[in-house]
Amino acid sequence: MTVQDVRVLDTWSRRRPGWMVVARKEFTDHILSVRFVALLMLLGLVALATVYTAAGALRDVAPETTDTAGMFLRLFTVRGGPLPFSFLTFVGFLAPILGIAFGFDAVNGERAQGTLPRLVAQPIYRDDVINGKFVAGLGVMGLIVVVVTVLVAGLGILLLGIVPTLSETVRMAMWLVAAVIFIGVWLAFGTLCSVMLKRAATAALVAIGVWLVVALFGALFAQVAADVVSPVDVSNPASALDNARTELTLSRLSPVTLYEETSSALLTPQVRSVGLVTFAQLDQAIVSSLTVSQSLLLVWPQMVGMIAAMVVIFAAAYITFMRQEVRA
Amino acid sequence: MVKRQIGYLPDTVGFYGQMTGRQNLRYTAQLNDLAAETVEGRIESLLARVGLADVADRPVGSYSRGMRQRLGIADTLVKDPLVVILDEPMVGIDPEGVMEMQSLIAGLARQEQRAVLLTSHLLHQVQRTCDRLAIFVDGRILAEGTAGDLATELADGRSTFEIVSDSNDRDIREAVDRVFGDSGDIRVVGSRRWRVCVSADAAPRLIPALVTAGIDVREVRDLGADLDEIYHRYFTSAGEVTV
Repeated sequence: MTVQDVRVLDTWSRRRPGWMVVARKEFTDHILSVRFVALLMLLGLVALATVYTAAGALRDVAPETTDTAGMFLRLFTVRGGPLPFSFLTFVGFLAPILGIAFGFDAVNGERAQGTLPRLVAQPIYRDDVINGKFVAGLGVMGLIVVVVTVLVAGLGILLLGIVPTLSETVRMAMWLVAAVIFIGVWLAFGTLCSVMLKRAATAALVAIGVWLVVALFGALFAQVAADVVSPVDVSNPASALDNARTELTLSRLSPVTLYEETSSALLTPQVRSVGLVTFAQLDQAIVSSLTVSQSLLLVWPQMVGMIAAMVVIFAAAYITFMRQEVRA
Repeated sequence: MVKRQIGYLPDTVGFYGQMTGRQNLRYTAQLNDLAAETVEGRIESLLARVGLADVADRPVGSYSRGMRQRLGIADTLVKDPLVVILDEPMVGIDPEGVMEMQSLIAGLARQEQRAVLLTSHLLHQVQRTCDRLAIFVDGRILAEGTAGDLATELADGRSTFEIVSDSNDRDIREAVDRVFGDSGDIRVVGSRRWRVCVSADAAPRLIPALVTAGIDVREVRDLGADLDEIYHRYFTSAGEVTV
């Protein structure tokens, strides 16, 4: 190799960055995988079921609720008939599975296949691998959530005979962003498990275990901890308020709470506070709807909280991965 | 980036099992940011060269170990590297595959003028394939040079013979001891097989010594520059041989 060749190599720059190549390949893999089809069908079916029953419930109350703001959005927030879930809570409950499903074998799968040493021997930066995988995962989940939501909205239009207004559409789009960020938290967590645990099966178990604990017992933990930190004194009504505040603060450490608050405020224009509301505050209140920007303002802290959780967890996965030894 | 000029084949090479051989190579090409127009032809010719052209569009999951290994060679060559590093390329493949692999590797170095660096524990194959070798023990180079050089250097003026005989162990040891004394070194290497190591100038006296002692000699073979033997004698601790 001549000196001139070396100089050419030095200034050599890529036409397509490494992470994009990785992301493209991972995205293709995901889309062609059995788990993508299975999850899409599962989510699609359950979503259709919730919306079908919700639409039935909505038609029954249609005379009183016609012309209230966000009528169409109730499709997502109302539960009806035999189903215990609205579309919203159902996504909140099942979305983590999506995130974990596309993250739990991201890195240890490459290790198990023996492709990681070959991958890092190519002229890409090492973080291109994990960044590309994360981007691909987000993309696939975004795709699934959008497809399911649009499907649901379309069915809703058919069943209810009303079309969403502009502000409702904007709210839906905002909610989609929030949902993808929420799933991103779990994708990051799944990726972290896949970096730390050598076996994909162990990583999946741990990730699902943590999700179950957070989703099912998170509220319980918050309550118990709040009772310890600021116990309720029967003679002092203010202490009850303190207790409730502590509980709320603690439960907001969980992304599930943040997601639920964000979604309910975004999809229900009538929600004016995601914090504690006393009866005194509600007394004489005029029921009115917030504009989209006001609702967004309301949930901004929650959105930032979710983004922060996603970034922090992904950063942990990133750092661990960068410090790991890659060998055959 | 240096990695653009170096092709590396890990000892346990892995591919994405659900993708075809061609797709795997294409992915490597994309990671190297090679132009799609030029790379398809190269992939095609590489697949033909490693004998995988007719299975190129089957998923790698269905490949045998030898096929994966050959795909691995093609994979390291996709980027047209100056230096090729092969880690144990001939482990776990059948003798036929080893022959093919050896001629492939020799072709890389001699016809295409690439620097090939390979590590192996299979010393006979190293001896046959490589121009220069180095023996590593515990991370240090102990000896370096052509196979012939190494043999002379390491043999330290001594020759090794393998004896096949029906006589018993004690008689043979006595016969060797009588002629060579302490300078002779003898050990059992199998049923009715012994290895004798004597100083090179005294070597012609070995067979007469055995015959005078009345030993039934079936075979005496000069192991000469045999890497396995040299290696065994000098470095019983675990080591690695590199070109």
